[in-house]
Amino acid sequence: MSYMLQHLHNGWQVDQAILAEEDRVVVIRFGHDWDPSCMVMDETMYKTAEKIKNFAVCYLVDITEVPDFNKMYELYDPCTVMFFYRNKHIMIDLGTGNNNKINWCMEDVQEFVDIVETVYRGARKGRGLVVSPKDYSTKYRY
Amino acid sequence: MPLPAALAARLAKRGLIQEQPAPPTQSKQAEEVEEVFAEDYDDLSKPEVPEEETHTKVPQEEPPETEKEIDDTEYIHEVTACPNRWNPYHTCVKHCKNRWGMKTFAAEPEMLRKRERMLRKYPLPDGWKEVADPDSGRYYYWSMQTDQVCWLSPGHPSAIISAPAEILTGTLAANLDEDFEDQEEMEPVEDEPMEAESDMSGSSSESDSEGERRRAPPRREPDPPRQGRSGQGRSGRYQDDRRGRRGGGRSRRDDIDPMDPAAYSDIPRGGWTDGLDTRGAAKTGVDSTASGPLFQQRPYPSPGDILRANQQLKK
Repeated sequence: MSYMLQHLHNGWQVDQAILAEEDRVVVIRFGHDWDPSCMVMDETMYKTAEKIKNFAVCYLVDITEVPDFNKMYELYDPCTVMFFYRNKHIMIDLGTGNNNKINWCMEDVQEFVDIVETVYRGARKGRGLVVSPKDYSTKYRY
Repeated sequence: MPLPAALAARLAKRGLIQEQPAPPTQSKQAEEVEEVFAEDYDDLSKPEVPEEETHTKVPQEEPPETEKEIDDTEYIHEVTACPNRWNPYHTCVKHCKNRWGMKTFAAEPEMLRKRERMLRKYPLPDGWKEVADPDSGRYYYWSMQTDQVCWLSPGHPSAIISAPAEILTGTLAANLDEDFEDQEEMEPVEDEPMEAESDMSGSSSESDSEGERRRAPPRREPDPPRQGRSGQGRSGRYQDDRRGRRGGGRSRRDDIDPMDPAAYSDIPRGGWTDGLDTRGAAKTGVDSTASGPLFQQRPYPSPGDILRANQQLKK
């Protein structure tokens, strides 16, 4: 369980958390702490937090507690991870067709670190859309 | 409360008040009372109205529009010469009559000649009276038993006998939405004076205000705002015409366009609001069935923008 990652408890905190980061990617996990897939994702994020702290920061948002973004961000999945850089949503082409977010839980720490690093590098160059190092379109095969 | 002398003088100069102040509200109320009294909505249900009853009542009330007996045979549909009479938002009060007087009936010799010829051919049945209409400068015929009116002599083959325009328009306004059949029946009423006109004038051309004549079927109820209501009724009927036409087309439009996605898929048929921009919904166009960088999707707005948009929505 991840008690070390910081929770954001309202929309204003989410907004400020993103605005406050000048040179780091903000990774936000939308979901519920009690959700099994979210637990897995949180575990992965917690493990990576130390590694990516120089260029990314992770936050957790309970979509029941903070329902402000549910409609606009289409937060229907149990676990959703989105990336923001300088108050801008960074899309990532994961091969799933939904470039806006990671809407499944990732178990592999290194994969997640790679994705965040790719986002950071792309966003630094001013890209709004980055291509994931790994194609996840066949992720259901294995 | 008495008016100040200066104000009273100015108002009297403009003709807004009389020398002895008869409060207009009172007269208006009296008007309404007598309107209810004199109005004859049960025209067909109660045909045995004694004629002397209505006609003894009418003169003592002095409504702005009524029929007065000039002599034994000459009736005139009395209307005020008020210039606002055609204004649907205007109700003629006693002041209109005092100020503008009554319209006078001026018969043209040509019309009189044709009327003579028509009456010689088709004499009036019992209970029908000839009433002069100052608006059109023509005579119409009024059955005192049934309170029906007709531009031509009732025996005339093309005569269309109907209830007075006031009643027709009143009923039109009352049940605009309910029955189409009634309005279908009433339809000829609008055309009647024109037909009568052409018939009466025969082959000779009569080019005077036919439009006005068409607008005004015989009136006999002593009720001022009738013209306005007739206008409403007419527009209402045209609306219904349109609706009817649309109803006819609807059956044709009901079968679905083969190019409509609803025709070949499970998508329900769209309304006219479908596809319009809905506030507060993300417009990303995410297609979760596609893979790869097929679509340059639009990024989501930042959380701050969303919060502001939500604030806007709440207002």
